[in-house]
Parts: sequence; C-alpha cells; structure tokens
Amino acid sequence: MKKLLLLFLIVVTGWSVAFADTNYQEILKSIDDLQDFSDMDLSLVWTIVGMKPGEDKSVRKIQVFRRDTEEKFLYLFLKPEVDKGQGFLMSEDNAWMYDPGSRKFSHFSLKENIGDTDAKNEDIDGYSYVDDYSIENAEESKLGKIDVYVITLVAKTNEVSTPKVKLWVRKDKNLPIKQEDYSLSDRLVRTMIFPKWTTVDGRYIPSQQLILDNLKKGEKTQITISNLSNAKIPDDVFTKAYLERINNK
Amino acid sequence: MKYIKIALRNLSREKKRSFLLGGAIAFGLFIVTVVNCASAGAVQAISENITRIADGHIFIQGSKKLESGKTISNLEDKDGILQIIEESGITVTKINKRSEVQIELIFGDNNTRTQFSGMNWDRESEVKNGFVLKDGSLDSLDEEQGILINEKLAENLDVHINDMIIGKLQTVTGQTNVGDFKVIGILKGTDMLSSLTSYANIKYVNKLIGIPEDDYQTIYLSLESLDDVDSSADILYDKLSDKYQMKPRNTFTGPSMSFAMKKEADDWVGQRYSLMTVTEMVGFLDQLVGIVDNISLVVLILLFLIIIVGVANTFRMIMYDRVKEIGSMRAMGMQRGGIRAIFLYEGFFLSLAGAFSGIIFAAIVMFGLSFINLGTESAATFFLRDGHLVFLPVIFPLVRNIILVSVLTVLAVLFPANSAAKLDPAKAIAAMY
Repeated sequence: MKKLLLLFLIVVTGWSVAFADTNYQEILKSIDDLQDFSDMDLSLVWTIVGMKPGEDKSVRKIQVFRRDTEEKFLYLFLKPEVDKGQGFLMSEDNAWMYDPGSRKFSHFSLKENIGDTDAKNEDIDGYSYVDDYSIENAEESKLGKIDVYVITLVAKTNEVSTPKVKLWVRKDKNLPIKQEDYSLSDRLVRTMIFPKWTTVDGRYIPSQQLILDNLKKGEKTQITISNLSNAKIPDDVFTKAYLERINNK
Repeated sequence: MKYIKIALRNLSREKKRSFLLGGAIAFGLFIVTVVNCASAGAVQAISENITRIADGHIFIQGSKKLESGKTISNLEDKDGILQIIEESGITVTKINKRSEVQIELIFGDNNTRTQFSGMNWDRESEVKNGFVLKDGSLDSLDEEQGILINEKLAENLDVHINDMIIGKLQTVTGQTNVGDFKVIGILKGTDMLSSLTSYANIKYVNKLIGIPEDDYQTIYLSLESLDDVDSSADILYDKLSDKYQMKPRNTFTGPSMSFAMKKEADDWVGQRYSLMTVTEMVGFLDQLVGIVDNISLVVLILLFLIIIVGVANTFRMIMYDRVKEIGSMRAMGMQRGGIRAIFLYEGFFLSLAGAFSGIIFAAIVMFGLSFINLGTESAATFFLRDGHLVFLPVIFPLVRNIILVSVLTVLAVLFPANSAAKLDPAKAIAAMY
C-alpha cells in the first residue's frame, strides 16, 4: 500500500512538473519571440552610459540599423566625438570596421578565429531560452509589488556561454524584468534589469536596460533606446559606401 | 704595385681633402649600418622575449570541431605526439606541458587581464627554482588556489600576500566561469613582459576551464638555440602530418597582417593539431626587417649619388691640380693606363677607408647605445633586451654596402681618371690646361 502511494505521488509530482514546464516553456518562447524582428527592418539609437567607481561616466551613442532577414547590421558611432563616424557593418559572415580617421575599412570574417584563440566570432551569437536552456526551477513570486514568475534555467550543452540564468518575468505581460547570469561555478556574474519596455509593430523591446557587473562592485552600464522605428531602411544603408558617405557630409 | 703606392701617397698628402671625402662616404655607411643592425637586433630581441615569456621555442596545441561547428581547445593524443617528438631526432632540451588561459583578475575596484599558465610544479621544478620572489613563499605552491603573480600586476591590483582575487575566464567550450585565487607569491620584476604571465596550479586551472585535472593543453618544446627552431619545426611538422590532421603553418603575407584578424579556411572537421614557433610569431617582423633593409639600400644609393657627384668634381679638381705632375710622369714613360690606374686606386682606397671608418664608427656608437637603459615599462620593451637596444651584426648587407660604395666611387672617379689619362704630356708639363 505504501509502495502504491509512493508511486502515485511520483506520478502526480512528475506530471505537475511536466505541466509546469510546459507553461514555462511557452513563457520562454514568448520571450524569445520578443527578440524576433525577422519580418521587419529596425532602426534605433542606443545611448550607453558606463559607470565605474572613481571614474567619470562614459557616454556612447550608436545608431543601429538592423535587417534580420538578410542578416545585415550597421552600427554607426555618434558619440563620443573621438569615435564619431566609426562604423561597423555586418553582412552574413562578413564584417567591416570603418575608421573615419584613416578612411579605411578592416575586413574580417565572422567565421574566423578571434585573436590567436580557437574562439570564433560566431560563438558570440545570442542565445535562445527555449533552444539553449532547460528549466531547473520555476515558481511564482513577487519582485517589489509586481507579480512575477521566477525561472531558473541551466544550459543544455556546455557550449552556451552563460551556464545558468535566473529570470524574473512579469506575469501580466510575460516580459522579463530582471535576469541574473551565473558562471559555471554558480557565481553571480551579471544582473540585468529591464525597467521599461516599448512597442514596435506590436512587439516589445526594452527601452531601458541596466546592467550590473556583480564581480566588480559599483560597475554598471545603462542602455537606453530612442528613435525606434520599423520603417523600411534603404538598401544602400547596408553598404560600405554609406559609411564613407555619411562621414563626408 | 707602384700605382697603389702612388695612389696611397696621393691620398695621404692631401689629408684634409681625403678626410672630407672619406667622411662623406663614412657618414652614409654609418647611417645604413646602424639601421640594418638595429632592425635585425629588434627581431632577435622580440624572439628572445617571446621565448622567455612562453618558456619554449615550439608550441603544439590541438583543436576539435564539435558537431555544432564550434571549435574547442583539445590536445587529444598527447602520448602519440610525445612519441613523435622523441622519435623525430630533433634535439629538445626541455618539454613543458601546461594549460593556459586568458583571465580577468578582479580585486576590489581594480581589475586587469593577464594570462595564467597552469603549472604542474612537480614536473616544472626547474622553472620553480628560477623564480625570484619579492614577497611570499614557494612552499605553498601546491595549494589548489595559489597563484604567483608579478610585482607589476600586484601593484596594479593593489594586492598582497594571502589576498583572495576573483578570476573570470572562459572554459574551453566558451562558458563563463569564475574562480577564487590566493596570492601566495609576488615575483620580482616591474617590466611589462614579466607582468604578462602569472602562474597557477594546473589542476585548478583545468577544473576552471573544464578539462580533466591531470590534463594539459599545450606542449612547449625548448631547443638548444633559436637558430635550430625553423629546421626542427619543419622536421616535426612533417612527422606529425604523417599521422595527424595538422593546421597549416602560419604564413605571413606582409607586415599589415594582424593577429586579431587572422584569416584561415574553416573547412576542416574532427581533431587537428597546430604547431607554432617563436620565429613564426615574429615572422612578419622578419619581412619588416627586409623592407627596412631595402629602404636603407635605396637611401644609401641616393646618398651616394649625391656623394659621387662631389667625388667626381673633387677628382676633376685633383686632376687640374696635378696636371704638371701627370705631364712629368707621362714624360718619364708612364702609360695612360698607369695614370688612370692611380686615379682609380685612389678612389677605391678612399671608398674602402670611408666605408670601414663608417662601419667602425657605427660599431662604436652601437656599442655605446647598447649601454643606455631605456626602461622596461613601455610596449617598446618588446624590441629591447632587458631594456637595452640590441644591435645584431648583419654580414650580407654590410658586404653588399661596401661593394656598392666602392663600385660607385670608382665609377665616379672613372671620368676624371680618363680625362687625366688622355692629357697630352707636353701640354701638361707646360700647364696649358
């Protein structure tokens, strides 16, 4: 009788976990989908403010153009003045950096090794919560006054750069508002906070992010998004000529 | 022989003129010799510095391509490789087996990047005994989290003995990992090169980078001399290629080649190995030396085109000064060829004296410069030996430059020599020119 009861408990508990996983998987999938802009062009301006103890704030402004369907990206530095005009153009497996001082491009393949190591640029790709992680733990909780799901994820393989992630997701909109990244030795490395979100064509994008370096006390970065638009970007923007032209103005 | 004697006498009797002409030639040779020797010395210094940092001349590593297409560091068949090294016939004075990792060290508000060499202290007693400590002790080297860092690095991080430092790194598969390290020793030396590498327990490093504790990633081979590196590497690479898939050797196409943007075909699969040498690491500098050498040759030629105009004019003046003397010699039976030979010998000996003076002066200046300590804290220290400039004698360019200068000078003297030879003896004696 005891064995039967135990079996029943195992089955029920297993079913509950599986059921819970399924729901949380959907939440994770919806978060993954937030970053999917494959059916539209996207242009925006990043303002990146770096703060380090004992140092002045550093402010960088970068104009970003994205066309995910063709794997094309263009980053153009607007600030600080010393970096103004520097550009970074990526198209599929190729990338070019433009230095307005020398008016020269440096080309490199995104399939090449980085430096003298075996790490590759393609290893620095983003990750998918659904494809790259499995749920280790999930529960309902509160972050301040906000009702959240707290989901702990562990990497499915040892090839994912962040081995463990803890996510706080708003229950009402399925939007992550906090993320903690852990090292393989289970040390908190980085905390990201997404206090504000904005929408573009019905999809959410964090308009403000705060990134705290948990290993370096007091070091943080704030990223703000402005001038967000999904208007069609002219084809010639994703060209080297555009980077040269914009610097000749 | 008599023409040579007369030519030498002529040079010695016009000391001031010979000194100025020879001085111009000497100056040209001085500049070019210093440039050639300094550029060759810089490459030698870089090779020595890299050998010192890396503690070896030839490095063997392995890579494995995973199903995902990701490449990881993996030295799989270590025993097989070591056997090939042993059977290759090359003279290896030392074999080190280490794991290396780029790491960000964090202590309070301070952080810096460095390379950690994971050391098996039982295997590397020679290296251990060579350490000079400023603080701490080597007795606790076996502590799992113990590290030896350089004085300069300790200063940058503001750490002392027994302080715990956070280290952030990546595993061989690219995962972020963090470990704690305890400073057990601070090595003497404030130069930039010494601060590039720190030493940790290989077991702990392996644990952090995600490989078995008794494993290692790189085989370092030390040879008897830098001169043996290329030939030994060629032999070893061929032997390894017979058994394993090898990464193509580095070929530097020009000084603009960047380590950061290294291009390489990515069409290999499975496990492969790479062999690299210190000379390959400075290979592009060898090409740079070649370019400097060629530029200095062009400068030398331009300089001498100017100098030989002066030499030609001076010898024309000499010819007019000696008209009576030439006439007398011709009247006494000396043939035209003799007069021409005297002028040409004068030019030749002048160029030789100038060239050797320039080289001797260059040697003295280089000797003096090599005593000046330029410090070891800047990036320029890579080009120096313990903070001092290195000048390497380069025989071929030296001989080539001496021959070039002699030929150009003799050519410059040829025209006035011919004119002197063609003088009419009677008119010359009467000084009618």
